Amino acid sequence: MKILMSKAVEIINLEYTYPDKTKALDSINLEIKQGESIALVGANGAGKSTLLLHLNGINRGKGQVNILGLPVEEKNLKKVRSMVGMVFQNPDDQLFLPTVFDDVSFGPMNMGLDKEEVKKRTSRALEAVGMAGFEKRLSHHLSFGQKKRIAIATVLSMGPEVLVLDEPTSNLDPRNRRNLVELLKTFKTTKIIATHDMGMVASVCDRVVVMSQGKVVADGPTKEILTDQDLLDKYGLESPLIHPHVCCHHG
Amino acid sequence: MEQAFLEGYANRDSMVHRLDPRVKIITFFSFIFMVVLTPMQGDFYRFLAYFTLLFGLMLFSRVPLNFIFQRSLVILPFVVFITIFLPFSPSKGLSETSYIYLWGLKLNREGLLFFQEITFKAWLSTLSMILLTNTTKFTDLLKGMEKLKVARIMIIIISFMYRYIFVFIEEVKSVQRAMQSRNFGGNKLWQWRMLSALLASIFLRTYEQSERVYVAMLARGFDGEIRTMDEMQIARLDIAFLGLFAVMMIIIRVGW
Repeated sequence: MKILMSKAVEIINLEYTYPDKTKALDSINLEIKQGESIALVGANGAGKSTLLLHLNGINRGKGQVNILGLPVEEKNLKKVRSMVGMVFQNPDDQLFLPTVFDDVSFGPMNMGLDKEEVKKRTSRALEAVGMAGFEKRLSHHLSFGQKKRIAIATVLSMGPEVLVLDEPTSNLDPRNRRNLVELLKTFKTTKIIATHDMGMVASVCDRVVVMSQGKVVADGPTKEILTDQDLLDKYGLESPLIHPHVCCHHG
Repeated sequence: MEQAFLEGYANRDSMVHRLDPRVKIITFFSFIFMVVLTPMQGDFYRFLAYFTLLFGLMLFSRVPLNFIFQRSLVILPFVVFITIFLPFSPSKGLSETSYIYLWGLKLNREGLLFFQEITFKAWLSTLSMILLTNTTKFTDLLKGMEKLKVARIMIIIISFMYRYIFVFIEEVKSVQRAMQSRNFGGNKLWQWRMLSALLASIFLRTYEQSERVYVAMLARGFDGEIRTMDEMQIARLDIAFLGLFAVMMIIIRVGW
């Protein structure tokens, strides 16, 4: 039974130092409720990707990370990784098997599900990203936009509670970008999106977390953050070309 | 381009394409074994029969014949390079009659036969492999080998290679374009130095890519074992084909 608005992600005093002693994350505290859609913004090197990698225990820093109340630690890794679906920036990293079917079914197979269930999940995930019927295709025959969508399908098939996306719209042409933004809006799960694409932030996310030099420097409703010109200037961000009210509430 | 080169006609459809990958792998490899294990001893007709058998399959496969033969020529220089010296090697205890004099060259008759035998066998084997890879999708070949209990680690390595070769071809091309755009030239030694630097950087990129891929695998619950699903079913037609092919090979081998 789901408790309404319970915590999807809870990060308490998280610190992470690279092997070369540079501090990547500095006392991060963050709470994300179920169903929330969060944008993680900030300059390159602010620590966004490093923070994301803590959510499924790929990086392990000091402090505490809980996913739906379950602490991210060695004995829970398997569970945590099936709850947190992580989509990496470069789809060529994410799609590592020759055929689309093998890639999308990789996660469910690792979860130990039976064949029928795996197949069902695979076709449902492909359908959800608008790539139904692509099972037999070879990854290297796909266009970049198709690869991005299938990369998302590879984690959707695991039925994640939290969807984590690193730069989902980077390198996409305007039409593919628009389609992807529309696609992201259809997902009702908790979303955490690291991005520079403020237009997408305005139309997909309801809350924005600004990071700078390994710290969370601002955290608030999208409208508030995107209209705070001083804040945006200070951290080298830009508000979307079109004002949020105009761009997101048509149709 | 590269994709077409590597994949050839595997995506077409024909009777041979539709056979189960396992059946094809067994067929073609046993064909090679039979060919290699049959002594030629001047008994050329047997090999003509092997060739005819393979030629029949080629016709059924609808892969263009000139494509198959052209491609087979690629491997011949390597074979010839190894076998070309055989006729020239003097062997002990041979009388003068076992030599042939041709254009002022002294050729060893036995060596000449070996040369002929090895070259022809290698060519037949090459043809059969070309036919196999052009009638079976690469992914199906891998799955077939997996089902036939080929070491899993080998299959995983080959499958990663297959997936990422195209990615790296693209990377090399983009680096090349960047070099050309800045008028890559100058003295030869310097060019070679730059090319080796390019190789090193490609190697580093592969290394980094492998780390990122590994992280992506972990993120989806990878625990040291790659699980993929494969559903292959051997139909009656497959069994019939395998049986017929085996009978024909045995007839050729044993004689009639």
